Amino acid sequence: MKQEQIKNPDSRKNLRNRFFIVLSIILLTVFGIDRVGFSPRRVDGAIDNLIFVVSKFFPEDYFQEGGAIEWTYEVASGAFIESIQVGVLGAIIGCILAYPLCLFGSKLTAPNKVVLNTTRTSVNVIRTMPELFWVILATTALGFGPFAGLVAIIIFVVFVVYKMFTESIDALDPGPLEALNATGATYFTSLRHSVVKEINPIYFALCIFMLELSIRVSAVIGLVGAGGIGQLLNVERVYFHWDNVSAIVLAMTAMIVILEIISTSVRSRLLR
Amino acid sequence: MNVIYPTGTHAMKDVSLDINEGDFLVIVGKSGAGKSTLLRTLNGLVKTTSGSINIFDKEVTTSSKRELREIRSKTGMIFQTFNLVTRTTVFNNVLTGRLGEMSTLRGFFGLWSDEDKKIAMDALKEVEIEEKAWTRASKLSGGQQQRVGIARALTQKPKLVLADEPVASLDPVTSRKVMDYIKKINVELGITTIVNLHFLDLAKDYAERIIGMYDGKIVYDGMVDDITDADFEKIYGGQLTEEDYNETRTN
Ligand SMILES: Nc1ncnc2c1ncn2[C@@H]1O[C@H](COP(=O)(O)OP(=O)(O)OP(=O)(O)O)[C@@H](O)[C@H]1O
Ligand SMILES: [Mg+2]
Repeated sequence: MKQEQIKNPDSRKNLRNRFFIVLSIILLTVFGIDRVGFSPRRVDGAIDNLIFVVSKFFPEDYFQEGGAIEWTYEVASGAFIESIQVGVLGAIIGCILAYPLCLFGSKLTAPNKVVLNTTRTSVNVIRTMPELFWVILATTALGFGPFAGLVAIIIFVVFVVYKMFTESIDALDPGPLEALNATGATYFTSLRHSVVKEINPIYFALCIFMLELSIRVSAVIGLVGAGGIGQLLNVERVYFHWDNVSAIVLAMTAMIVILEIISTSVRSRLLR
Repeated sequence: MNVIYPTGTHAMKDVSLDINEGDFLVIVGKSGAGKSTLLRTLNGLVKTTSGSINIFDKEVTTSSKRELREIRSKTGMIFQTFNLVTRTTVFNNVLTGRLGEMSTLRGFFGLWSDEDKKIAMDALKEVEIEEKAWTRASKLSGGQQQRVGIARALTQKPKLVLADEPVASLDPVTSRKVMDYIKKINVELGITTIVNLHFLDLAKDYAERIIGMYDGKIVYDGMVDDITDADFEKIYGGQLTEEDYNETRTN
């Protein structure tokens, strides 16, 4: 007896879709190669370059007295601390500023439609500017150095927190807030005893994450003149002190790994 | 009194109702009939489109924010989904019932007086759940959470309690237990109580007076014992088959 075949009626369509997806990936790759100017000869040269650069990055005196590691420890540590200070301060100020902004920007907690729409529209318009724009604007207005970095990071933190935190607030159950409104409590009091209690763990976990993120960002934006280790890295790069450059990058990597370990463990504890 | 929602739904159509002090009133009607809307207009959670509502000799529809707060602080509300703040203790939840009476500053910072704490603890005792006072609200069962919801309403020292389908998410046995507590409040403390219920049989066991709603209108208003099968059909939508009828009834 012939077995009846079980077949998804959409299978032809699915096959066709898959074909188009694969085709577009291939086309995009070809397009990318064309733009980057990728060719086998260039790869050849790149390997030679790489060997050259590695020998410059890690010269023989790297770990010795007067070498790059010692230099990093003695000279660059100040810049590291500056980056961390800017990152920590920026995260704290940014997180504090973002809190009320998020309450005003969520449909659940905004005091009225006017406040809600004003907050949303202005934040969304300003947010369309890329982060780098703020760094450049800050260094132009305030001069090179850590203060410009701080201002740029505060702006960065406010927008990231706004984006993530308003979504958490919107997702809350509106019931408890309504229940407190129904007891005759005022707007701020109702918020304080319902929504705030529900979201604070999420908020503090987010703050820890922002602390980690803004220290990383603060180290990097120094490259465009916002002070700290990034700025020093740029100077060393300009003078072709490749060994110092690599030592700074290694130290930054170590810092980021440590930060991430601490932040992950603190956050998981908070959200428990 | 009329309510038309911004979406255009005409949820209250010329509804008129007198409620006496100390009444235990049950509103029945099928889903979408407007039971919740009616309750919510009473404490101003839903704004009326036209008409007037007079509670404790105060006009709700034209009241200032301050007056509305005063009305609300004398009106306890109990919800189908309990609406407790899950991340804090039962006791803290019950204490929020005092917020309507407190000054904004004291309320905001949660500076409860000893008197407030005593009222809250007494309310927990009233629904026999004081041993859970220091438990997180999220750790309680549905029936226990609703008892905490009742205690929160009691902590307001209300003159009126509104319960919007308080037992709709509970099993039958727990439902009766919770209804017993609500009834007890009405009988022992003399608090006027209005309860929304889906089903008539539960209503019949607890109500003195029943309001039947259908499609935004009051189609029955009378004592429990006087309700007839014809009234029943009006409330649950006219032409029902025999089976629908029996099913709804026994549910
Ligand atoms: N916030 C709102 N905005 C717009 N329409 C609403 C709103 N709340 C309720 N409605 C509509 O008003 C009508 C009455 O709803 P209501 O919630 O009062 O009914 P109900 O009798 O409580 O029903 P249920 O038993 O399902 O709770 C329904 O048609 C509903 O869709
Ligand atoms: Mg309802």
